[in-house]
Amino acid sequence: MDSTEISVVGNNEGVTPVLESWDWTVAGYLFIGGLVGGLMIFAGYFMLRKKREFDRGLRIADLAGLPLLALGLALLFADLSNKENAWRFFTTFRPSSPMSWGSWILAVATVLLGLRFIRHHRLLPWDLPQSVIRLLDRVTRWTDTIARPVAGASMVVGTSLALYTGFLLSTITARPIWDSGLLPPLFLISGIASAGAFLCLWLESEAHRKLAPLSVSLCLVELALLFTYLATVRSPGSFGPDLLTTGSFAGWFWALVVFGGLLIPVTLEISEIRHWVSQRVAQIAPYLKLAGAAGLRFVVLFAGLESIL
Amino acid sequence: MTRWAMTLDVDLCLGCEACIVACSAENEVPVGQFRTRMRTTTVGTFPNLRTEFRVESCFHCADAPCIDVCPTGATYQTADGIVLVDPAKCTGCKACVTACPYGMRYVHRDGWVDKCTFCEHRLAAGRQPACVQTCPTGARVFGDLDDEADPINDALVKARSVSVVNPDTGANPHLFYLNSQFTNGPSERLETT
Repeated sequence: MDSTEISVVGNNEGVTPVLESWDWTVAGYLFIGGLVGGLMIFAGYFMLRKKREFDRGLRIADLAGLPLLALGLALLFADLSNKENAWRFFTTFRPSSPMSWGSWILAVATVLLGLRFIRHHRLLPWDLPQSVIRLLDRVTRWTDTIARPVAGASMVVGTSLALYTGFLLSTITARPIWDSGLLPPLFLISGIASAGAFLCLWLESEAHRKLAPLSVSLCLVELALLFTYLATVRSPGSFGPDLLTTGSFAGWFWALVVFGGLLIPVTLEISEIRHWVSQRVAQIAPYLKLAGAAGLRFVVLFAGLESIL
Repeated sequence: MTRWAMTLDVDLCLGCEACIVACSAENEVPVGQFRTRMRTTTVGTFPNLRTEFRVESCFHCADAPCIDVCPTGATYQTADGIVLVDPAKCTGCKACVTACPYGMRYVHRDGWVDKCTFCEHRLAAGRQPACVQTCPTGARVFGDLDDEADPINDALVKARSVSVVNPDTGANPHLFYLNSQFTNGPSERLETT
């Protein structure tokens, strides 16, 4: 039967008619969570391989992981509207809630990243008391005795962290565009790719070139996952993938995520491997990939808030 | 076993908004925020038009998606089916606001997430919810679906049609619209007992 809505009395700001429950802080956290997860996976891999050529990459992952995670946690905390109860996340575990899983994954990740961070305390720009330095050195020597378990745990927890950022959205079935089992693996691969891009920013050109084939492969897998996700997401039409491909987010999706974040970087990296472009030109690729990975989270999050059953 | 639910007979609703005012006053809802909202909809094709007032509040879904996503257990369901929020446990993460397919939750000015409680405090004192008691036409009936003698079951049986808002969500809402020609999604006769 034809019907026309004339008026609505009793809308709550930020809920109806437009849902604005999560904002850029959550999208930023989803990006940083994936990035840190990817860095933990790389760090674990570097530790297990024990090759000298990976030393610089491992040091960068060690030094960047904890501050980045702290930034992500700060964004999450900023989003809470009842901050005085934030400690409640750590007094319960609810298996049905991805956010509860995420709280505990973040807690374990903080410990692991902390253990890796403190081994570089001498690089810190401030002087620590001798007693603290002795304590940090003792902890570092202890972690050296359990290096393989720490590396393995780093890879497992990093994978969990990046996957959980996808599960956080995909389990909310009220938003059709999030209701896909492919979001967690998409965010995982994107997280690993963005961590690789982050490391490339700091590595010498030779190491950068060695990472390029892996980076290209990750981008191609991410592209395949992205389009499979769009083709299989549950609710077709204007509240489904059309929001991304032809709707209000199409410009950002195609320009920032697909072309800027995946196709152009892949083309640059393939060109670099084949010596078609100079390394200087190819150095843009990691920046584009990081922007694309962030854009993916922003676009999917905000499109999801507009996507209703 | 008690299973609380509410019906709203669209034929009887005048759109006077007394229920919205009563709800806000009873539950001290901050000015500018609402636990109850009213959609005014014109149904049909000219000249056969009919205006329907659909008053909505938390549907206290049997399979409420807001409960599963809550990381601290602040959102929970009582044994008699009422979905409640414990402000002392709520972190304001807004996962439940995002997960509610009906947009029935909001962030209270004090930070925690708020919504209709079926006036649980009044039920405990043996009284009806404020919106039910204040309705001048008796459009609302509140009662126990598991009690065959309860007037709500009589209202459900006698109605020309029984529908819920968007049953496709799978949440199984417990606010039933009687005699409505319009719902935001497929309308269907529901088995309620």
